[in-house]
Amino acid sequence: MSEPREPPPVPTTDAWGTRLGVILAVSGSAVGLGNFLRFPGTAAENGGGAFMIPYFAALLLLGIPIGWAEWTMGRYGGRKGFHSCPAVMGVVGRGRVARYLGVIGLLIPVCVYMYYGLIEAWTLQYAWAYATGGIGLDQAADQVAHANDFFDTVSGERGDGVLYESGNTFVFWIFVMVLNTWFVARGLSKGIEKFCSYAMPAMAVCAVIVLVRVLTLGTPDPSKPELNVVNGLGYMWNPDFGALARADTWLAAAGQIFFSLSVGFGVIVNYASYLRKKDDVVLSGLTASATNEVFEVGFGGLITLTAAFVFLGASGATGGAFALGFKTLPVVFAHMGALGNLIGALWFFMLFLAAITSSLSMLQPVKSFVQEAVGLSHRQAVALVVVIASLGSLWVLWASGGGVARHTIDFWVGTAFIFVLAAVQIVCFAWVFGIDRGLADAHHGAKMRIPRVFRFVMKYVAPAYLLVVFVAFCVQSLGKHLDALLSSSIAATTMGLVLFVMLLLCGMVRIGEIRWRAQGLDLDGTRPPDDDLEIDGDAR
Amino acid sequence: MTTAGWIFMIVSLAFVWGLAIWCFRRILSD
Repeated sequence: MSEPREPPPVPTTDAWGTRLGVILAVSGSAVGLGNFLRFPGTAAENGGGAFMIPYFAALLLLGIPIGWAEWTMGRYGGRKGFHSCPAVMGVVGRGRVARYLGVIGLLIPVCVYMYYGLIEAWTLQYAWAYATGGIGLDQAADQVAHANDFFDTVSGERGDGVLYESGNTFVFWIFVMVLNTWFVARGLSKGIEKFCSYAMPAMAVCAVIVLVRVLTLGTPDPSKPELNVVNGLGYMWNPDFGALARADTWLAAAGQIFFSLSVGFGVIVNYASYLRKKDDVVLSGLTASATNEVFEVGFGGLITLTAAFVFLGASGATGGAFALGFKTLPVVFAHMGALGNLIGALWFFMLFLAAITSSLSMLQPVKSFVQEAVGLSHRQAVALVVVIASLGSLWVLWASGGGVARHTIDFWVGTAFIFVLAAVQIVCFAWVFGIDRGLADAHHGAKMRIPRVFRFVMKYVAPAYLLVVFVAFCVQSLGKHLDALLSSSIAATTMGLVLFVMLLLCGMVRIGEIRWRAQGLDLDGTRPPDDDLEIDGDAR
Repeated sequence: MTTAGWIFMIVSLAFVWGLAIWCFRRILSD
């Protein structure tokens, strides 16, 4: 039976090459620095092994269901010829309100890219330094101070900014920007998919090598027998059941799952929009989530804190994610003797791969949007998006002193807006589009069925869970971040930049609306696609 | 490392690895 389809607004050559390719691309988008650095620290601070109870609860009630909704909405929007978050949300959410809220699904990736590219440059700079002889810790009298100095030079966060430091961060930043541009310009299949199909296995190999080295450290200092691998694992995994009684623990678990899986980020909708109706989204979505969990729990949960504890004790295994990854672990590598530089190079190269697979996914959704809303060609769209993202990143680079610009975007866009978009998405999917219709659509071409209980979870539990987490998050964090925003000119300017980008994207949505209507496209989702009629008969 | 720590670690690792292996086996068997 033929399947008539509405024509796409702009003929696009973008398409996925293989099913595994799209899974690895989505997994690559999800696996990032948070898997290796943020997760172990959060778990250890919130009950160790007991943290895994709220963590897996959040995975099952929030992460996987919202992920399925995103995969399904993206593919549905793609069948109607749309590939960007505003257009897809307009179709699924049936109207202008959802369409303009969908702009958040562009704002998050493009703005997060502005500081993520800089962190990507740090990881590459560290990897390069280790591959070419180390960062000089073995000759340093005070290794901790030297590691801190090296990080401050690379990040520029101690002084006036990285442009005023003696390091080569700017050179690495330019290289990273060019590399990202090159991969995105090559297109979805030849660029992002091909890169992820090599980068993800390479990342796994690096992780396994580092993991094996860490688990075979034994007791490096016989004079301190308590600092051994088993106790290092215990530092991460020994359960503190008292933590389960604290609301903070449950919030931290939900937050970790949320940011780790890249749900509510605007990427999955775009990636899934290039799937065909007969392509599976259920097993693919679950596989992408499972892959992310392997990197997070299977590698992140065993490597980072264990290594830090074995050499530096409990005091060395504390601190924020960046401190742990960029300051503490270099000291650990310096204790590893001849293999230290190799393990350090592998570790930071692995972080670089994790970062670049994520950063590529941040440019692609905006590129697709510019293409279909304004009608630019692929090359023109890549150029425009790269200019916007790179100029924003240059601002974060210039204002890197104190890390204010990075922190501002990270909180307001990379944290708060994600909650908003995820809420919009799950409400549109379960309540506006309709949960039964949504699940039926998800089951087209599916290689597994979504268990019936998820109908209830997606309609009631996930939105309620999200609301509670968001309100608690605002109560905990909003006040101090609002104060920080109002008291710093850098923070205020950064927020102005974010708002300017938002207005620019909203303007493009308006242009898109006019163009899509002129082309006779169903941008408000008022009628089902022709092939949607087949849904009613099965898969409920 | 306490016994409970071992249990939480092993169960967590078994869950994530088991889920990933199950998913990839199904993906690759098609």
